[in-house]
Amino acid sequence: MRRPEQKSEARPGFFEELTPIHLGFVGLGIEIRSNSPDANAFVTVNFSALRSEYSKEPDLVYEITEIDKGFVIRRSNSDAPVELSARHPAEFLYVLEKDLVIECQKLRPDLYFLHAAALSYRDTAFLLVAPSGGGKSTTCWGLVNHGCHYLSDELAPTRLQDFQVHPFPHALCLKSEPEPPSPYRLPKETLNTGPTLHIPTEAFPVRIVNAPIPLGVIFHIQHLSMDLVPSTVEISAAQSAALLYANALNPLSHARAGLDAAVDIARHARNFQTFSGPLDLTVAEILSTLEKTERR
Amino acid sequence: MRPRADIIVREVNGETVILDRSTGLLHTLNATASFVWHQLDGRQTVQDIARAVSRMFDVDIGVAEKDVAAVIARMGEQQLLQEDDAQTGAEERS
Repeated sequence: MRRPEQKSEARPGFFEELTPIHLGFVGLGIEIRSNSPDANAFVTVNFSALRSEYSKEPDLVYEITEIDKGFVIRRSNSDAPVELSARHPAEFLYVLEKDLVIECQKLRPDLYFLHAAALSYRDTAFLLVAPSGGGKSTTCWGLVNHGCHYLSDELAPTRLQDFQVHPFPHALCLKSEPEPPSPYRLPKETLNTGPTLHIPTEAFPVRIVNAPIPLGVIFHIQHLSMDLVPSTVEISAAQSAALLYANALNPLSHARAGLDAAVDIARHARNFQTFSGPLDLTVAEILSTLEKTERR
Repeated sequence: MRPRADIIVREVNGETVILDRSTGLLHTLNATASFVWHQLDGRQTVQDIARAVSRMFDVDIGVAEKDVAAVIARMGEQQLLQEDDAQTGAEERS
């Protein structure tokens, strides 16, 4: 694996100023190097639970440069280095994470990457599937405060061979407005980038899941109104597969355009559709369904 | 009419998921519609399929004919079907 080209030719010692951050995700090593204390701090807060020491060459290498009006993110471990830009910290984290996830997905075609929050209930994973802005992260934060262990609020890479869900425990990301209602207040360690709030995993009231665990239940979350009393109905594997497919990352990279993988995952799990409402009631609805599901 | 050759189909517990890559749309068929779908081999008529539905689901033949015609029309509207002269059916796994 080729190491990143050092910009230090132009500015000696440029990237030696700060210690590289090493992350581990789905068995891949990621190195992030930066000349910016701010960028390092954002990366540290966002990815603290993914920090990992490894002896092999990293699979992905990023170099972050802070410039006058934002950040430049350079992925430099391929024959064709990619340069991305971000205007502010929220965009920086978004752009970096998006690229990192896409590149990891390319390197792990045996995993089906679902846009879903993933939590653990009695050592079995359950997913909250919803489109962006559908309340995954907020519901996830509520569930974490009721003892569910955290894998991710955003991404559920699922191994097709054995339906194990890999954790992606980045800082839980909420939009700044509205803040979660009582009793789900934000911890003081929350990073506020302006448009987004990032709750570092160290501030969670539960442990972070750091190894793959088996998938058990899938909830497709649909938010209609805060006035609605939450309800849940069991749906068929076919219906769930269609919804999973719509929330898959790059499904076309899989055989038969990724349809079989979505179906196989749905067949492996119990599938529900939950119509959400106020956070405390939605959390209670999901926990109640999990409890009933386990008893059957 | 028969299923279009270039769509991807997967049967799941008696229901069917259809991926039409040309439109990017996913369709799910319930058990009855799935049964109709599998009868669409380019040879059977609506009446033939309705008789099969009537037997399989124990419904009145008149009701079955009406429902089968409606389901096939809906599949046609969604451009999931092709004319009978095509040589191959959809790529399917169960």
